[in-house]
Amino acid sequence: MGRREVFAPVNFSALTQVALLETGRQPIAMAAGETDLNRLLQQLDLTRPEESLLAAAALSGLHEAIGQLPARDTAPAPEPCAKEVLPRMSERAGSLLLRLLGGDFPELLPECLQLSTRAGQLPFPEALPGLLSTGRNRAEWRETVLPLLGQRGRWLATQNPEWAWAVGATAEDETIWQVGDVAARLLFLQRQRRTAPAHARELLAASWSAETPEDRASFIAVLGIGLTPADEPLLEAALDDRRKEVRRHAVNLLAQLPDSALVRRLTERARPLLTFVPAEAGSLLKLKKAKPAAVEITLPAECDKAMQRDGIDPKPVAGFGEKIGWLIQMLELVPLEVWTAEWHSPPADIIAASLQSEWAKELFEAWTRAAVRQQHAGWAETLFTIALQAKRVHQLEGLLGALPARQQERLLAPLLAADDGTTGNIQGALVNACRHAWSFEFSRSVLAWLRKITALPGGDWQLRNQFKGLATRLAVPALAEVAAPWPTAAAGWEFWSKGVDEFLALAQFRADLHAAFPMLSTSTPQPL
Amino acid sequence: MPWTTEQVLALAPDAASAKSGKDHAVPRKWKTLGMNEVCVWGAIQGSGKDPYQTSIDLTGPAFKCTCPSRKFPCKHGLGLFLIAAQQPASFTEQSPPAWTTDWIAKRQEKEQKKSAPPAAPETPPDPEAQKKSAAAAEKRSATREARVTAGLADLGIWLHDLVRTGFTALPGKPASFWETPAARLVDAQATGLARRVAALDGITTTGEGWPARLLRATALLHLARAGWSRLAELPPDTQADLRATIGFTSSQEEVLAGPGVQDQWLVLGQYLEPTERLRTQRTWLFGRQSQRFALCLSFSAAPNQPLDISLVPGTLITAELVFYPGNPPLRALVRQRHGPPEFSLPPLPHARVAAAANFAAACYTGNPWLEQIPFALAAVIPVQRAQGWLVRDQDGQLLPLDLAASKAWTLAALAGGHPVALAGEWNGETLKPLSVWVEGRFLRL
Repeated sequence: MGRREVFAPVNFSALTQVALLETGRQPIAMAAGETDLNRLLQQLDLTRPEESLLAAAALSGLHEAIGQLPARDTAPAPEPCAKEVLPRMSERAGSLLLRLLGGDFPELLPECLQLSTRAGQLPFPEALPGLLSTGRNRAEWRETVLPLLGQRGRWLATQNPEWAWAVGATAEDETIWQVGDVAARLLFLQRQRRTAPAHARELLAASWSAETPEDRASFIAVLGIGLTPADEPLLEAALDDRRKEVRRHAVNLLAQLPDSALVRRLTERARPLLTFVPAEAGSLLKLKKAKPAAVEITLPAECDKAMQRDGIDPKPVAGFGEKIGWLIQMLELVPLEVWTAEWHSPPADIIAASLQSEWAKELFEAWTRAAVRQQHAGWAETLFTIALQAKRVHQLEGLLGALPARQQERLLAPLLAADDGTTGNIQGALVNACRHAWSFEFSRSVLAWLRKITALPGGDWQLRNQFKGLATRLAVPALAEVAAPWPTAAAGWEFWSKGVDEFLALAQFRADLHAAFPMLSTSTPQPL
Repeated sequence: MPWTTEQVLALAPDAASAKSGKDHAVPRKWKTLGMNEVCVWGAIQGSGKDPYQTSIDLTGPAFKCTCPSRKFPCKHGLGLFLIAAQQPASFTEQSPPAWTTDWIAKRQEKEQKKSAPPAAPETPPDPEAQKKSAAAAEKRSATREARVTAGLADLGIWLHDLVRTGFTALPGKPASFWETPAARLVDAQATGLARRVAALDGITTTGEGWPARLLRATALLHLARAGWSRLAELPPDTQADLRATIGFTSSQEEVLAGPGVQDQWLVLGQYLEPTERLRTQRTWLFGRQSQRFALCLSFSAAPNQPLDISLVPGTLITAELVFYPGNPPLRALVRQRHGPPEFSLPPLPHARVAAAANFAAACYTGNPWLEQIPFALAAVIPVQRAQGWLVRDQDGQLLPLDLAASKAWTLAALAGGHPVALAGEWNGETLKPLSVWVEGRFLRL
């Protein structure tokens, strides 16, 4: 603040200096001059120093407060933000989005952002700081947040270093890749990879040796977007990286390329270790019993440096022996097609033969891991049926995820209908593992199942805690059917009602959300 | 119904009530929902046998609910109001039930009584008794004034000690160093000065410039003491300002009996002083024709004691206000309201930062003890500079803001580098923004 110094014969800051020290040590200097203030100050009785200091301060302080002039900006006015092209969302949608950003039902934020993107509507500006901070804290949501920033959000992001990630995402030239903050560079690379995959790889290869190990680990995973055989040389080189995480990503990606050298090496190693012994028909005359087909195993002798380079961890796999553990890891990565081609048998026959082996449990684990990692529905369905009979919940959850959405529903619906509360928490675990956006019919099956099991005696806390999550996957038309009836008179209701209330609150919020984007309410929701 | 979610939620007495209110803002939970121009009503099944009956008088707003909650407004009232603001299509009934109309009639009757002149007593007062009670009142006030005089003499000695020892010795003093003189002023019935003395404690930790801030504050205490010693020589309005600063309260009846100012008043903003025991809510108004500012105070001494919710920031009310004496007169009471609030924005008086600064200068000239001065800036742009967040007018003149970083970013997002209308409280150094108008929308900060 500037001051009208010319009117201030007793400078207030001089008085402050006097007040800091013991009064009486320093005299109060009264400036001469015929001003109104001076005439007042000259009336003070300087023989009483405390009194006159306080009085002078009151007069001078007030004089300054009244004469205070606003400071003038030395910087130019800020560049105003350009006009938005897209329209704004409704007031209702805006207030729901603010609630989500404020911490209510955080699991629904991505759905709200996607609805808004699909409606081609932008949030109200007061939501932008929350959205930009969400992108800063949750890297996996950045792509979802970006389309909602609009002109205003991008304009705002340039002013706060904490929101640099959004600047990188919207930058049009490549300087951001050279000079940007790591979050901005990552997002830039991801977007490049979608539009110009080869160029993105070239950018990464050019700077690869200069990147820090942490950055290499996050950048290499980006090659998973639109992976092609052309990426192999860079990935193969990364198998020799000092950083374990980088090597792990490289193995994961190379295993997804069926013709990669890594897959060939693993296949060549695994092939001699497994033998398929075909079935033998029985013969009455020779008194020979019929023998079913079986898979026989030779254990690998060692886990040498070359195997370790290809991603085999010499440490034992939890629950299994050391050497069989190496084999399980190899089989997980070898394409399952290798075995069906090699042995001219369909997956069901190979799985049946595996169960005849003395390593039946271990082979089942290996096939399960392979089917889950390779998202192989043909293998997964057979394995699922067997695991279900054995009630192996953990394997079931993984296998379900390897199946296409409609197949998951087809398998689960009869299980839900048959649930009488005696099968433990298998249904609960499987419904919970069924993470796609459900069809209307399947949503109704889940609702009917929930109404059935909440009429049974309560006690399963884990199951009750899962209810809320189920509401995020219900088909939108099914949200209208959640309200009634619930078994409120049943003995277990007191226990279940907490979970059901949470389920209903979330379902209601989702219904409100979809109602707030009315143009979209009739279309089918996209999987989240 | 242009009420916004934010305005409704601001009526909640606490965060828990706001959350429960949102949970009740679900039309399917209500058995009936109705609304017309003046009121909203609904019935909702609670834990009791009969459904609770909730009514809202939109001319206030004012709330009524048959639930036993001690919160005010209760979660049902807030939920119902939220539905009215967000999903007006959910209301199916148009003619209010008796339980709503009866309550509104009773409210109006009470309003009328408040603004009507007091009825003449039925029996003429006994002149003897009148004389006696007047004498007693005079004696009471003389006793109090004597106490204040003694208390201020004590304060003078303490202030002299403070400057004689020098401020350098002050940082790190125990809390009792400041509490003791403050408590003595409470005993002397000078509560206003007691609060100011207690607040000195915090000044030593306000960073660079604290000695100047402390000297300004102590000098104003000195000025109050000096003024009191020759009160009778001061102009009447200054006497009133000084008495209010010391802690004398004027009787509301006396103020209400004074002349009123009829106008359309814009509710500029509201601030709840976050003190532990006594909560003070300041609501600032600005008169469209009179071009006058007004300050309505509401106090709550206990968590269950609701604050006044009838003045909703961002609304324009037609009302008659009566002012407490002062120079300038700022503190006011609403004597009578006419009709429901409107939602338009009249032009704000401070077109430039310079106009606001001149207004502050005029206010301090009349009343040096003023702690907050209302600023209503018509067009300023929030900017971030090395010294922090400020607002800038078209002349490039700046006012520093007292605003948390998260809120400052919200303000910057709302403005987008364009001018916005902004109202807040000026304390002589910084502006605490309370409200912002942008693109036809109103938001609290």
